[in-house]
Amino acid sequence: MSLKTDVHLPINPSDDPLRLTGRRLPRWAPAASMVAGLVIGILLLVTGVKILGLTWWVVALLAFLLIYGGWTLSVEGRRHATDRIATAAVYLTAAAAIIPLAWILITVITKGISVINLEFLTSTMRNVNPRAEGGGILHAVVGTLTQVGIATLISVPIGICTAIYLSEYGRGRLARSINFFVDVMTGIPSIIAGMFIFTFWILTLGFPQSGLAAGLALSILMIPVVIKSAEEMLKIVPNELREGALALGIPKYKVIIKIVIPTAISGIITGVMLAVARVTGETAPLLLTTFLAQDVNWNAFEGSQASLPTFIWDQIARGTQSSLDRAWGGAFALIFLVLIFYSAARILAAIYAPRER
Amino acid sequence: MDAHRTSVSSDTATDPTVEATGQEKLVTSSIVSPEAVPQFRIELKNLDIYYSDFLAVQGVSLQVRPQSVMSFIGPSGCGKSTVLRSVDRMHEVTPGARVSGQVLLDGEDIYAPNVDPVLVRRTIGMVFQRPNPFPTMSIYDNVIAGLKLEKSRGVKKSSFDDTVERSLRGANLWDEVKDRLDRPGAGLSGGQQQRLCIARAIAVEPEVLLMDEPCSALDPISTLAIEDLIHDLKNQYTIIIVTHNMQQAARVSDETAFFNLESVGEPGRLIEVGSTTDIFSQPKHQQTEDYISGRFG
Repeated sequence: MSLKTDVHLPINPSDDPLRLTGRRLPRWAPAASMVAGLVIGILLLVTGVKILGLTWWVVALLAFLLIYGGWTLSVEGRRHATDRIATAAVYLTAAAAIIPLAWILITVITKGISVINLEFLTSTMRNVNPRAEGGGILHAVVGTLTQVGIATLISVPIGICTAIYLSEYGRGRLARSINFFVDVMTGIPSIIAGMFIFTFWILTLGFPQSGLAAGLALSILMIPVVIKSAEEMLKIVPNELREGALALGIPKYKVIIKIVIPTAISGIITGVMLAVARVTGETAPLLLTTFLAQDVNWNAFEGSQASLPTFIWDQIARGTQSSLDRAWGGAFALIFLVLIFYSAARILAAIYAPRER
Repeated sequence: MDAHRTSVSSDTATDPTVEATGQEKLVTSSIVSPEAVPQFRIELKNLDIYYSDFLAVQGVSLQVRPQSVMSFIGPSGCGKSTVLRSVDRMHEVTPGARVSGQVLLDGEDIYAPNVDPVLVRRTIGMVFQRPNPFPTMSIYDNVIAGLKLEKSRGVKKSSFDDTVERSLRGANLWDEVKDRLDRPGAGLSGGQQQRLCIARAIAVEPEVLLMDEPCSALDPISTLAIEDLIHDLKNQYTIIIVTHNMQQAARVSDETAFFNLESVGEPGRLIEVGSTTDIFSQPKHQQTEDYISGRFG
């Protein structure tokens, strides 16, 4: 159906039902509705009146949506009202997702930053009364870096090579079953990974508790994450690039090494770093495989090793104010470490990303 | 060129060939005795092409002379690109895809059991529908990608500069990019990218160049540049080009092959092959005439 504007030009535009303008809410309408909702909520809070037994801020939220939606409906019509309510809902849920995250960050930073000083970073809990003040996290940082480093050294080659197999070579039943097991492994609870290494590596094979055992347990958790993210990155490399390279007479293995991986490397690095960040915070498998230590253990192959997550767990369990402070300091250090990994991932990804200029 | 053309047309005119009835009748090449005509660079003999169990193209036989341009025309889904991809063994890159029949390159079957597809693809280059420069590489590295990534070719690094200039000049791109060879290839315009891909393909000095709708993503000016390029390249290379644009086929090619399929799900077939002038002025088959005059379907 066409509008046939040439035969249907109205003399007075405002009489024409097809005109393009409509009545709109003023720009300040969302803010005004929000204020109105808040006022209603606060009034209920002050007067102590309850509507349907709901808390004041839930009422404020519903009042805002009702006022905003009703106002839009009466002025702009049904389609705009739906649009505005949906937009408001999307913003509100996004805020709901971010608020707890920001809350955690702010709490950890405010409680932890006062604990952090040079002594805290460079000393251990050796010869420190766990209920008294003093001590530090050096042994835990050393342990975490060792264990996560071992896990990364094991997981990245296995993970990336498996991803290459799945994306570039895998066909048929073997590839499907690998895919299935990778999906299942992604969902393995971390304590199970720890239990497996404990029973298999320590009890059956007779190796001692060590940072290496912890690294093995962490790599069980890390490998599927690396496989999945690297496979996704390899799969979004356009097939035209592979064909273009093959058509030049470049052998397939070189196409993968020189064309496909460099094109995807930025995403692969991001995926690896996120996997690293994820296992850095694991606690349960470490308790089973390396347990706790109060001093630095540079030997990853023998003896218990501390780590930041188990340090936090240990300090909370001590239950005194000074040990709680140390736990917050450890939490701050842990989040800071993860932040460093994440920033490194972003920087490396940006460096290796394909450029157009 | 004209001598070529007349001899080709007389050959194909005397061929009692290309009935789209059964694959037995489509064996045309054996009728022409080898000593009577110059050797063919590419010769397809009774080629059936499959995707898994689906027969996509049936019974294609045709010959392409050295230093000539052949165009493949036909409606979508008739198997032109599939035939083209089977000529440099790119078809089998698709999982489950396979070929039966023969593709001869200078008389040698490229589907013989001991033939290395990598070597075939170095001799027969390919340019794709969408420009696909390697995004992680500079213009310079894109051009020499085929040489650099295969050390066994024994090309010394010092000669890369010459190769880059020669290939980019060959692709009519040198003047536009000579001052920014270290910039990423992905930053060029679509037409420049496609000429970069042609430069990349001719840098490895193939004998045959396959082009799969090389202009379909380009504007008319870039298309003209590519068509001019095809005219120049013909002096050195044997070219097969797939195109949906019949004017383009008429402009650039010496010979034209028309493919068609009876209905969706049926295999595509070669209906008619001959000199471009004959195909466009006096096609022997009603289907060809219908397609060329736009009365198709």
